[in-house]
Formats: sequence, C-alpha cells, structure tokens
Amino acid sequence: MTRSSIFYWFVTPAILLALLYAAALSCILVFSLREHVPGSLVVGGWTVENFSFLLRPLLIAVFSDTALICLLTALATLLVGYPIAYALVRVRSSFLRATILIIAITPMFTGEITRTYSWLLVLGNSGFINAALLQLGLIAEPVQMMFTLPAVVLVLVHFTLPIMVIILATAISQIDPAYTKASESLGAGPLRSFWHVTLPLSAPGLIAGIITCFAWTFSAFATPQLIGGGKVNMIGNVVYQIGISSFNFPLAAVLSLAGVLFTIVLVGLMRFALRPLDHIRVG
Amino acid sequence: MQSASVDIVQAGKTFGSHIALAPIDMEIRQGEFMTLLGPSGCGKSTLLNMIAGFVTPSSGAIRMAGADVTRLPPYRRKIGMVFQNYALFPHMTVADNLAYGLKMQKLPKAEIRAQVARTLEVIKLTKFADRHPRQLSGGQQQRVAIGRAVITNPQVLLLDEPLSALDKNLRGSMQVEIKEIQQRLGITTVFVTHDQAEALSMSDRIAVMSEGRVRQVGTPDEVYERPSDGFVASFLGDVTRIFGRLTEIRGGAAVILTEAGPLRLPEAQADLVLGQDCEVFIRPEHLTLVPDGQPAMLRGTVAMRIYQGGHFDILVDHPGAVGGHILLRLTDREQAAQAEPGRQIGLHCDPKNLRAFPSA
Ligand SMILES: Nc1ncnc2c1ncn2[C@@H]1O[C@H](COP(=O)(O)OP(=O)(O)O)[C@@H](O)[C@H]1O
Ligand SMILES: [Mg+2]
Repeated sequence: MTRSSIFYWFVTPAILLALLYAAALSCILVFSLREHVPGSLVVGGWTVENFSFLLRPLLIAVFSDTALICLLTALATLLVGYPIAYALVRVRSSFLRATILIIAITPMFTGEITRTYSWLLVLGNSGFINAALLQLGLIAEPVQMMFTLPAVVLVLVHFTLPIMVIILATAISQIDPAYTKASESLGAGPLRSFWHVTLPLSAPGLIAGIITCFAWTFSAFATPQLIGGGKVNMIGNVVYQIGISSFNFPLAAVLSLAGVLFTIVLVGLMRFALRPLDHIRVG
Repeated sequence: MQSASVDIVQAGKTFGSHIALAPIDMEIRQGEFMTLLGPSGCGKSTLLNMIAGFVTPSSGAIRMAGADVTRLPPYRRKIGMVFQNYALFPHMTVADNLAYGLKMQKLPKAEIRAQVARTLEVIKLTKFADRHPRQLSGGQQQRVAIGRAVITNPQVLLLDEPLSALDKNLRGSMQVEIKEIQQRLGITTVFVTHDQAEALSMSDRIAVMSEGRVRQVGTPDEVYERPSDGFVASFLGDVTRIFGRLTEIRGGAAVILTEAGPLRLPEAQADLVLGQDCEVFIRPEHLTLVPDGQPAMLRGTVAMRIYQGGHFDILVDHPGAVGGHILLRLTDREQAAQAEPGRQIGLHCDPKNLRAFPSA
C-alpha cells in the first residue's frame, strides 16, 4: 500500500465526521436566521431579528453565570487536582500510585446521569450528608444544598477532575526532580522549593488544565439540570427550555451559536492572558 | 563562611538487601579537592548525596567542620552542588539562577545584586545575565551551574559528573576552570567522575571505588604509581597484565614464573604468598625497546602500531598477557620506526616499576 492511500484511510473518517458536524452547525445556523412562529414547530421567513434577543438582561445573566460556574469549577478542580497529580507522579510506592490513579480516573467511566443521580443521594435534604449531620445533632433542620450554585460546581468538579489530573500529571512528570534537588541544595526547604521551582514549572499544565476544564463544562447540561433544578441555569439548560418547552427553535439555535462563539472567544482571551507563562519550557 | 573539613565515619547505605555503599571511613580536609573515582554503579553518587543530605546513611555519621550533620536535610547544610545536567532553573534568567541561593538566605536586594555581578564576572558571563539557560551553550551552562553553587560561599562544593555532558575539547578547558575557581576560593570540594584522566589531572586526592567499597585513597601519583590492588592498577591508566605464579622469595626479591620465563621484582611490590597465582602489572610507558641481539625481559612480535599524535601505541603479541598483547608506549619517532608490524622485538622494564597482585 502506498503512503498516500494509508493517509486517506486514516483521514477519511475524520473528514466524514467533520462534514457531519459542519452540516449540523449549518442547520443550526439556518434555524437561527428563521422567524419563530409561536405555538408551531414550523419556522417562518428569513430574519436576523433573533440575534437581538442576546442583549436581553436575562440572557446576558445566563452567559455570565455560566462563565462564572465554569471558572469556579476550573479553579476548584485545579486546587483539588494538583495534589493528586503531584502524588501520582512523585509517590515512590507503585501500589499507592495505582490506587490514586484508580480513584482519580474512575469518574470518567461512570455515565453522567448515574454520577449526577448518586450526588442527589449525597446532597439531598434526606441525603447522606444531611442524615449524618442530623444524626450527630449538629443541625436541627436539613441544610439546603440541592439547587445551589456550590452544589452544581461541586458535581462539575467531580466531572472534570480526571481530565485535570491527567493533564497536570503529564506536565509534572516532565519536571526533572533534579530541579528540586538543586533548589534544596541552595537552602530552600520543600515548601519554598515547591513555590519557586515546581509550581512555576507546572505552568504549561496549569494553563492547559484550566482552559480544558473551562471549555468542557461550558456545555454542561445534565448536571445543572438535575443538581441546579431550574434554580441554577447554564446555557445548555436555557437552550433546552427555549427549544423543547416553548418550541422556539430559532432562538435556541441563536443561543447555541452564541455559546460556541463565547467559548471560543473566552478560551482565546484566557490563552492570551496566560501568555507570559509560555516562555517556561521544561527540560 | 569558612570552608569545612568533611568526616565520613563508618557511613554506609543499603537499599533493601542491596549494599550500595559498605560502611566507610574517609576524611576530606579543609580546602581539599577530593575525587570519587570508579565505574558506574560503584556508589559514588550515593556517597556524594550522603554528604549533601539527599541520602540518609543506613549506618554511621557525617561531620562537617566537626559538627554532626547526619540528620540535617540538605537545605540546612551549607553545601553547593553541581549536577550532571546542571539543573539550571529553566524559568529563570542567568542572573536569577545565580541570585536564588542568596534570596533564600534573605540577603538585602542591593547585596544580592552586587554579589551576582561579581560572580558573573568570575564565570565570564556578564553579557549573558538576562538570558535563559536554554539560550546558552553547554560550557556556559556549566559555568552558571558552578557560579550558582559557589555564590553562597558554601562549606563544601559537591559535583556529580559535571563534565560528562560536554564534548572532549570543552571538557579539558572546563577542568582547568573548575580547578581555578576551586583554588581561588579555597573551597573543600568533592568531585565525582568515572574518568580516570580527569581524576588524575584535577585532584589533590583520589578515592578509587568499586562495588560499594573504597579501594584506595591517595594523591594522584600514589594511586597511579603505587596502586593498592589489581583493580586500582587497571582502572587508572593503561596496563599490561601477565599471568604468573610466585615461585621463590630470595634476598628481598620475588621471582614470578610466567610463560615468558621468570620475572624478578622487589619483594615489597608483590603482595603474595609463595605458590600463589598472580598477575604482573606493567605500565606501557615503563617498557623500553631492547636493541637486537641483547637479552630482553619479554619478547614478542609487533602486531600493530597506532599513531596517537604525541606518541605511538605498540601492541606486541604475547601469549602470557591478558588479552594476548603487551602495550608499549613510545614517544621517540626513531624507536617507533623500528617497531614495525611483523617484527620480533625485545622489551625491558625496570623491576622497580613492576607490580604483582593476586589473580582476581
Ligand atoms: N534509590 C535507590 N534505590 C535502590 N538502589 C539504588 C538507589 N540509588 C542507587 N542505587 C544502587 O546503588 C548502587 C550505587 O549507585 P550510585 O551511587 O548511583 O552509583 P554511581 O554514582 O557510582 O554510578 C547502584 O547499584 C544503584 O543501582
Ligand atoms: Mg552516579
């Protein structure tokens, strides 16, 4: 087989997939430019009117809430994920390493719905945490955790943790332990060595991790739907409501497109803001 | 800060059941350049890291300037260390790398700036202060690593195979530079290498190590001229070994019977008992050509003549020698011309330059 025919074997499926996505996106684009006929699934004539909805305070609030939730999630995941990733790379015992890896990675292999429902069992008014606190007499009334922003962030952190750990562990494993030795030989204890050497040298991983988690949670749907219960809404939930509850497909399409663009722009901005860290190349 | 003596007292290290370093005693004097020399895996780095504090000894103690530091972590010992791949911080400039140790000591900013400027001059990199390490050549990185290690005025300077990443020419000039800096500062230095030429040219004293043990400690000429055993004799410099057996000791001379007939050497140079199998060690530069027709200590046919620039290496076939050849080194071109391949030649060695050790 020639080199170019192998090339086509590999590239053809990718091209087909890309075409499929492009077709779906074009459909959404087409919908976004059609008139909404209230009470009907059939759309009317061509218009750009739909895009003006984006400036409504309600929708602006949804976008900024979503961005806030994603940012909080990315930062919280970073804080939780870094020690795990660090241990994963630097712990000597291979048994301990395997254990950490399994615990950190398993959330990836449970379905989103299953994972979210199990959080209902933990966070609900008669869930595990409230039951335990009541039993211990620490609280008299169940604490309202469901349908709050912290709860949504918590469950999203659980969702993004594996990918964050993998990204950070990859970055940390690139850092030669000799740098830490050098730092200690120059009089810096473990904490100062970490702060001045290991952490800055993890920058490529920190950047990649934050951006990936941010972009990944931006399209979250099931988690805010079930844990947020209509009180905490992200873009995906609003698109769903507008599309399925009021059959306003044109506006749902506008929101989806805006979501995609918003993610791209924000990720681009973040990339730009973190550029000073780019000169750090390890090894 | 004064540079310090280092005392290693019965310090050893085992990893599980593996003995990386058998308990050893070693005294490194103040201001001395001590080299740990030995093949890969003999425990040099383990010993060096024990002095640095990165490896905790399984037994024994380490003292610096008389004070017990065995339990002190590296950052509380006053050491400077140079690593094999330099381990310069890639996210800091040359100046920041140099300043790092001083910052950790919380010196005033102006003081740090002045010391960094002074060190940049010593390592001849003033123009490169704002570069990052990856923008420097190997030799320049090496100089930054040395500057960073000595800028804090440590009690001991520790170097783990610092030159092995450099090409041969650069290695030579870096040897000189390291030695110069070391002498100027008068700093106690422990230098690890597996390169015997490097060890011989740089050290005040050399500790020759093998398999987790120190075989001999001595000045370069002591370990080269008066090796304490066969390992030391063959690890330092080139040597020809000839199989034999001690057959007689008479009048202060030992007689060793070899395939080439009996060899006589002063009794003190044969650490053997009567009847013991042994090897006689001969340095190539101690062998001389014997004019044709005169009695010779050894005879053989020239197998190969290798031009080495400053001298010729001559391989002479001899069945009694380990490897089947005697190595002879001639600097005189006329003599070398006589040692033509295929020709039978006679060789002589002054008995005082012969050494005999038990067969391994
Ligand atoms: N952390 C360690 N765990 C187990 N064995 C080790 C460790 N460090 C070194 N060793 C072993 O100890 C011996 C000496 O190692 P080392 O001091 O690095 O040798 P050298 O520097 O002379 O090449 C080697 O056999 C090596 O495999
Ligand atoms: Mg080593």
